[in-house]
Amino acid sequence: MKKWCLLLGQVLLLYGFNWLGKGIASYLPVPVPGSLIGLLLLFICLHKGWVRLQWVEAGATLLFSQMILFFVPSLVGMMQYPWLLGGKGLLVLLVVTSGCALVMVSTGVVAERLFRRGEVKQLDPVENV
Amino acid sequence: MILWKTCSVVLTILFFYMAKRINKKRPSLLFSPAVLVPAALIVFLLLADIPYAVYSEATAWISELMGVATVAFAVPLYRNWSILMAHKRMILLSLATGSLIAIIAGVSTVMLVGLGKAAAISVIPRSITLPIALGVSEAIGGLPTMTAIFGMLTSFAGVFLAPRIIQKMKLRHPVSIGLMYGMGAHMLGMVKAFERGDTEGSSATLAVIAGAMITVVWAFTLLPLILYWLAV
Repeated sequence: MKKWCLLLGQVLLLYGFNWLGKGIASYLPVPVPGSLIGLLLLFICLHKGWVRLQWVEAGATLLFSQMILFFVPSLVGMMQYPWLLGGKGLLVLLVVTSGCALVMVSTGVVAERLFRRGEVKQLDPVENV
Repeated sequence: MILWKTCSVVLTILFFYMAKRINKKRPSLLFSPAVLVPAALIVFLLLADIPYAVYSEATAWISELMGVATVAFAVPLYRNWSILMAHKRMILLSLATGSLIAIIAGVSTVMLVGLGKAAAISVIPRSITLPIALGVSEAIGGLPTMTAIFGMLTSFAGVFLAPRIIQKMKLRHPVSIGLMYGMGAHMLGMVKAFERGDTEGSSATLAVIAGAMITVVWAFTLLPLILYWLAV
């Protein structure tokens, strides 16, 4: 019981940050999602030590484990576009899949290459000795 | 009406836990809760003749929790900050490459298959996490609903493609795997990356945030060029 109250409190604290982020976002001239501002705020607070990691850690883990549920309502929104099942939808799928594959391959490969090069550089001095 | 609304909420949660159980027995993407639950709910809503607006109003608090969960990503980001900072250059360069390719590939394939100029502009921000993408789409003269479709399908495609790409391209470093997930599949990819590990997850988080900022910069610098090209 005590554990659940603790978890609830942690989730509420995270909720507060989200709420704060949304409030700030509504005053900004550019469209930035409030949740990302909340993320940034919490990150700064953690970094400065204003919020301790133990205060939010368990709540965060709980939220992550149920995360897909939170996406469901927006995914159901696809029912608003019945034409996605037709020929046009197939074209969209083609565009999306090919583009996505290119993006992922390029991002992953560039990162991996750079990492391997960095690794070799770090090893060099040791080998020279 | 109230009955339908309660029904929508109860079924959303019920289907989710049922799908989780099914997925445990048959772990494949087709049986993932992210596919099964929306599909089952769409069938239910169509059969019961409930419009999406009603459903979305009833389940608004579930979507709201998505924002709370997004905030929670500060925790792994904080825990892995030093690892990420050690790979600053690699992160920045790979995200810049990825987002540039996202724009070029998107615009050129849309024109190639003949979906039209409006779609070509709407596809530009599709590699950004949805809430930001919608704003960007509006700012550069695209159609936000079109962008939403592109974005959602991209997330799905990314999650589906990721394990294959990791294997084919022999990606081993957790940071590059995370960056790939975040750049390619945004928030949904972030969740999947966390299933692989904490470093993967936090680099995916960083990729979602930094990738969005870099894509916005690319979008606005390339926009005149793209508009010029589309007009020809």
